[in-house]
Amino acid sequence: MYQYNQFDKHFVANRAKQFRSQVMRRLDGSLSEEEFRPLRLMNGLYLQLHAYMLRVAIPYGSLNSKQMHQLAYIAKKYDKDYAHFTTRQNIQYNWPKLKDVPDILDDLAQVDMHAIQTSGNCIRNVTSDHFAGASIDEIADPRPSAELLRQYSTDHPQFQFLPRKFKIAISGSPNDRAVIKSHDIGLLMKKDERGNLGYEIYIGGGLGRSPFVGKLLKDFLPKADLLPYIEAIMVVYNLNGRRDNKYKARIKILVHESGIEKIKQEVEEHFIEQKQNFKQPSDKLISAINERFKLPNFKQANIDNYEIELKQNAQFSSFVKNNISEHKNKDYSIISVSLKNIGETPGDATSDQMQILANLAKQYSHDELRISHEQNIILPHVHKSDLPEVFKELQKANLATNNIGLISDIIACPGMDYCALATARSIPVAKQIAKHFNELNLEEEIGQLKLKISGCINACGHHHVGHIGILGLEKQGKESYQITLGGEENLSMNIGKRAGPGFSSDELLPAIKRLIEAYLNLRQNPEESFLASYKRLGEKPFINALYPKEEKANVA
Amino acid sequence: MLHKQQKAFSNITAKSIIVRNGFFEKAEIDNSKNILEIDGNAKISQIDLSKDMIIIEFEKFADGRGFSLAKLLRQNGFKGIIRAKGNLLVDQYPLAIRCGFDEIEISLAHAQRQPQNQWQEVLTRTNNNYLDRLMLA
Repeated sequence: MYQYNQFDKHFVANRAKQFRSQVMRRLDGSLSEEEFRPLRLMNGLYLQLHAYMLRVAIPYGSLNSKQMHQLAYIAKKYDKDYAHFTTRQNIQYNWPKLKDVPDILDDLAQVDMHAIQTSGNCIRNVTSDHFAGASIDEIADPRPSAELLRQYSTDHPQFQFLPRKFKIAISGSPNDRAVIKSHDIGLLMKKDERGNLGYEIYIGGGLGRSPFVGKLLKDFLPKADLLPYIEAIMVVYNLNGRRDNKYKARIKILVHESGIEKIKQEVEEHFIEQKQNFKQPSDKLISAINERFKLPNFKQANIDNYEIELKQNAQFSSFVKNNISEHKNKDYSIISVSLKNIGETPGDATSDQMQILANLAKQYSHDELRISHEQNIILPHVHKSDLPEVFKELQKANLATNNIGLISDIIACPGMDYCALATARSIPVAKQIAKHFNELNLEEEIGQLKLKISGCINACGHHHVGHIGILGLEKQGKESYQITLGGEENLSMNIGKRAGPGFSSDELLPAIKRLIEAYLNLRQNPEESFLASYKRLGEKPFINALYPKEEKANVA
Repeated sequence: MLHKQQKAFSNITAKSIIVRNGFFEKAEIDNSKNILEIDGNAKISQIDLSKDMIIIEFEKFADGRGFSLAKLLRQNGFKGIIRAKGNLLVDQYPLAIRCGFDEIEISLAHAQRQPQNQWQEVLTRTNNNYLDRLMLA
């Protein structure tokens, strides 16, 4: 867990003070709304459909119990007693008042938190694997690199007014859980043949209205060269990214239009220059960062009670099956707490739930929590002997939904219920689908399936990479939902293919039902997932299920 | 405070003014100087580094290309004056200085709305930044 030092604390407190002055200058007319906008955005403050929205950074998704308690307190004091965890490992408050925002930033600074660069055309909060430092499959903990990038990119004087926003994600495991290829820069930690650590680098990935899979920019960059190399990429983008059209301003378009070879050449040229000019951080500073991500002191205890509970308690064993991942210490587990309780808004947590999770983290998870890009909360270091007790506590708090990775573990953007850009509702659609399959007790039967919903083409709900993706649009004043099939995240990232014409909000659930029925009939065995069936059989049988011929004949 | 601002303006009759070390000064063209004016489209490799002064125009404050151009000029060893020309925000002033700019030319109207004391206040932001700490610590 990264602990802020005096420098960090001072910086964050100062930024809160600066924002207070910016609000004052907006109010006294020194700043026009157009001028104030990038400043408020750089501090995470959006103007949404009904109100301001404040997006608070949770760097690489890691936080401690004290911070989680403070997030709960803010939700209680300034908002409507709940908040929303996002796909970028941030937390959003949907109803703050402008006059309260400087106070909220002060309260956040007390626990070393802030809203810096959670919006605006700058390098955003660096995201990472939510199992970082805990998972058994990890080559290296990506968080020290993410923290180095956080420090490097925070208030970087060249890159606060980029052509467009810029997102970096980093994974320390070949089982990429950070969807690195959908980012402007994706970093995958790996070792060369001599065992030296470094990064495989992807560039120009992204979802949104023009989705692209990130392209390989560098096969292996030694660890020590990270900052000068990133600086080279940023300079190339800052000088060459399009500024004539905001929809073509992301680096993915530059890479697409220039070609990866040309970008590679320009980045390499700048990199040579940067390496000569760039003063590298000292070993002392690097080891001070590493020091803060040391593994906790794992306890040793008998786990017989866990084994017994597994045999005797079916609910517990089902929870373990779906919500527990393998830890690097064999007596420990990683718990994914689902924020996809059936009938509730995906990613929302009440103040009480946040407090309960903070207490559980303090008592049972070495004071650590994580936020996943799938909008769930992780307790990364729980000893197996404590699992039965933690499960009971989660049940009491309505947080024991055992649907991680299943059809009801839906990513959904806020949609028309909150967002000024949305063209359709996402949340009610997510609730409806989750409820249907839950009531029929079909979730486990269907197995691993990633269903993702966006309420407009900006694709905040990641529908492009859903095995089943739903995109809500507006057609002649009515909501129309397009279905995409075969999208995939991870290193085999693939953009889902549009199945055909959209469905009205009434037709959507029946269409999804037909699709799932078809899959259940078509799969070779229960182990073959929806995506595996789709890959084996191709789109045709699934499209036939979505658009049955008989119906067309009837209509004709 | 207001009195001070008015006083600062009373000396200025030009259409634009220069912000230098946090103070407003009258914009003057020094004909003895060898000056080059460029905009965001400039290619660094084609710039004559023997000039006394390079003026980088910011067409819009949100177009941040000038920040990288100034930084690259300094990296390539340019020792003369670098001026930003355009209505940058007060909050961009410390960023500009950190990238290697010496001064900013803003319009009189802009200076009236964002007066001198605001430019002075933000100067402290050039200290204690992450990048310096990373590179020098």
